[in-house]
Amino acid sequence: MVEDGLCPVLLEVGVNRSRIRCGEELALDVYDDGQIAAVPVGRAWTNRLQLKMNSMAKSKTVHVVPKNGSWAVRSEGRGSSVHSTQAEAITAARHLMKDGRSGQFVVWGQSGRIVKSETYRLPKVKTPPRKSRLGRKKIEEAVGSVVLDRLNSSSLLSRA
Amino acid sequence: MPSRVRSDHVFINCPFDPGYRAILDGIVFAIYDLGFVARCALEDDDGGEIRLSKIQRIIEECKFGIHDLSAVALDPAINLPRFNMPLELGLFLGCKRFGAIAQRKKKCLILDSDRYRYRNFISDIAGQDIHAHAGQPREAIIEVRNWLAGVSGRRLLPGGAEVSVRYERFQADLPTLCARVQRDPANLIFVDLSEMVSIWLEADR
Repeated sequence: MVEDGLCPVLLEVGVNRSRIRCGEELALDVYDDGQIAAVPVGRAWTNRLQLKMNSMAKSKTVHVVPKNGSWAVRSEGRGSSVHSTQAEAITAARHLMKDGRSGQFVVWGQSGRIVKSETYRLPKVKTPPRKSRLGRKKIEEAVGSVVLDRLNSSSLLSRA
Repeated sequence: MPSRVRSDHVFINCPFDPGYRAILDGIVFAIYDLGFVARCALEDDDGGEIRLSKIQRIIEECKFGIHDLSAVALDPAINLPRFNMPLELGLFLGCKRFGAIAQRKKKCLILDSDRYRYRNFISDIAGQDIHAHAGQPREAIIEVRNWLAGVSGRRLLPGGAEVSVRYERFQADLPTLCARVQRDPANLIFVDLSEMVSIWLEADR
């Protein structure tokens, strides 16, 4: 976006953000987390146009799911495999998490609920202090059914 | 007996109108995705506790507070604005100023639809850094993320864009989730939303 011969100029430094002018009428807000947003020069930064640098979430979840007496390891972009035992599948899932990216692996039980999970370079999700009247088990089953339906309908699982 | 301040609890002071729902859901989602706990006056419907006492107790327990003033506007039906959000902001700032040492470490984020609108109705907070979301959940999520990353000192927090993309995925799943638990997504109460968000994030981040 920088025009030939035009030197970028640092305009201002905000919280977790720096604004750099890179054209006659365009500036870029560069955030500490790598986001970049285009800002028309002269407009308030709250009216900025947001550029999608990455339309996909950076972190991924690796799923270990029971499948026809075996255990399948499934995740988009991180490969897939089938193992005879849950322990072997968990080892394979842990290995997939060693590529330096953030994410988590989740082990699903026959009940459709999570039996084990580990996070990598992501903050742990906290449990709300007040209990839902729906009951945590009912919500876990609903979430499990939605997520597992999505996994089962994906071509990755069907190729196992 | 003073309540213990939780360094991972975030008090949300915002409107509870249907029109604000998307932003509230986005803020709650962002808070849990970043490893914190969302609290607000809606979490406890115990009729035995006076509402103001409940709000004071929750504020006391939260190190962080998010205060959205975007709904402070004249209600045409009664020709008066609602003052609950500025009142709760005042309670939070008062707790920070006059409370015990642990309370003085409180941090607060003030949100509005526009960054300078506050000058017309609550100019006493001039000098605070007001953040604008333009009425967009994605903007609110990014503001919350960037603020929490700065004030909490925590590292390895996912970026605002990443949280926003995950929120869109959660929103896509929400109607099906609600159908399976016989709930209307438009009328999901705070505690149900919070539990659903936390369980969904554990399952498919």
